[in-house]
Amino acid sequence: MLSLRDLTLCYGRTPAVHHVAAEFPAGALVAVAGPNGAGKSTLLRAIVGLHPATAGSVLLDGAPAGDQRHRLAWLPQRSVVDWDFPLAVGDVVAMGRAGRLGAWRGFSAADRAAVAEALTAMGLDELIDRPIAALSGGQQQRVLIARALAGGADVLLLDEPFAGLDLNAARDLVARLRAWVGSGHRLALCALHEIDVARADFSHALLLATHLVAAGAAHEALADANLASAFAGPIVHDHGAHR
Amino acid sequence: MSGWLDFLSDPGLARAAATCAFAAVGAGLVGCVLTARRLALVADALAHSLLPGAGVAWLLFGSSMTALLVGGLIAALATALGAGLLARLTRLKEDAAFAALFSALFAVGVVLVQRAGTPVDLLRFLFGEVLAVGPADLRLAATVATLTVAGFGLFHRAIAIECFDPVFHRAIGGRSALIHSGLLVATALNLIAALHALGIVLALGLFMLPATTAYLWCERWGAMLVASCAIAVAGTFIGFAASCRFALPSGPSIVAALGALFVLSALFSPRHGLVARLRRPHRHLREGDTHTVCER
Repeated sequence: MLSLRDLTLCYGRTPAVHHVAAEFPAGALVAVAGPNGAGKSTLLRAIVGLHPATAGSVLLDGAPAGDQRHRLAWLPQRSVVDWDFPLAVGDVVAMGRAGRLGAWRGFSAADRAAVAEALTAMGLDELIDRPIAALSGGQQQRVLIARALAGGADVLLLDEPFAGLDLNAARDLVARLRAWVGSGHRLALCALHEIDVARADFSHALLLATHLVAAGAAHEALADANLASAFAGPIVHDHGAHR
Repeated sequence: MSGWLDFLSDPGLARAAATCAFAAVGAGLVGCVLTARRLALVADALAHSLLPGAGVAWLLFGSSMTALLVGGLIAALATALGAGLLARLTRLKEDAAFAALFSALFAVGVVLVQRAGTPVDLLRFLFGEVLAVGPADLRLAATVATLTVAGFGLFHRAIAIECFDPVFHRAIGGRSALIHSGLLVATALNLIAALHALGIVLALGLFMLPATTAYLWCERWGAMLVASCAIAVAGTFIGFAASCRFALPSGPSIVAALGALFVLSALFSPRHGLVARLRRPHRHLREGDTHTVCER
């Protein structure tokens, strides 16, 4: 479903990630792992088109991903959003439809159905009227994912979705993501540091240390030898990767 | 009670009250954006930077409403543009750039107005003169309020998304820069609409007090916008009526009334008020509440 073809990404003249080649099938839940500065966030941003490729390409179902932006949703870390803003859960998830509706078009039955489906997928039905200021960290992350799902994305790119979550909340989130990717022609990639969670609950992994260390089934790509190689090598800082 | 409403039977006073009420509607809406996006300093900066623009216009063209409007608008937009450029081209953050620019421009404005006018003129710019507003002020305030309400009505979805999550807004192809610029222009226009009545310093109260008061009561964006307008208009009428009843200066009375509503809300708002917070028992784990308590 997603192919990275010899992808090289640079900040100025400094390569942040170079010569990455990997393929992931539909239904995969992919952990993008590696040390700080390995290029994880940069890679996700490049897949969604927010960072230009210096060389190589990203293909989605055989066609350039850049031509299918509506199918991709990138979720930055949840800390970039003001959670004291006066909105309810349902309001935020409904924003996911705005890209399709434009400025003025009203909500149709299909829009309402998409929002309802996204709320259900993330287990937020009972929280639809709850102010977002009253949510836990795990619930906040699920709201942002539901907003992306409501927009009709079938490839999710999540930047450190488990940061700040306790183990139960992280496991709950992984289970929901697995259920979502498994119920259609879908794919999710998560940049993360939680290697144990990745090994236990993810189907695939891509291990980076500015270059590709390993890619494939999670338990193989994240084998001890690969991790030792990735975390021992020299690391180049990915300047502004979180911007 | 009739003593409180006597001002309605005086055409001049009624016009002044209507001008302030129109200014309150626009300021109430724009104030919500400034509060939600934590841009109170930007409003402060824009208000202070109006002075040199309006001052130059006043020196060149006298008290022409059009000249004041254009002069103030140019100065405010130049400040916003200058702060944006400084933030991008130097190591300064945008708030520091705004603060540096508006302090300098405000000082220039004071020098200009003092040099050419009298201390009374400077005071008029700073604190306004509610009872001196004329038909042109009323028309300007009504026009700006109408445009502001129409703008918020037409772009309500984009404004809400831009205020909550500008990165997401850009990611879905929203015209983030256009909405942001439009909101800055709306801030400048509404400040100018309130300038003659309330002056630079007091006009800020009309923007920030109703919106912050509404923020203490409302959990939904739409409700906050409506509540902010309602509070702004109610506070304006209460302050204006009190000033007529007790022979107090009108502009400060209006802002003081809005301030009183804010203080009462900060104390007694059922969810976010100080009293409610102090009286709220420490939370213990309850069934079905585990996420809220455990994960925060």
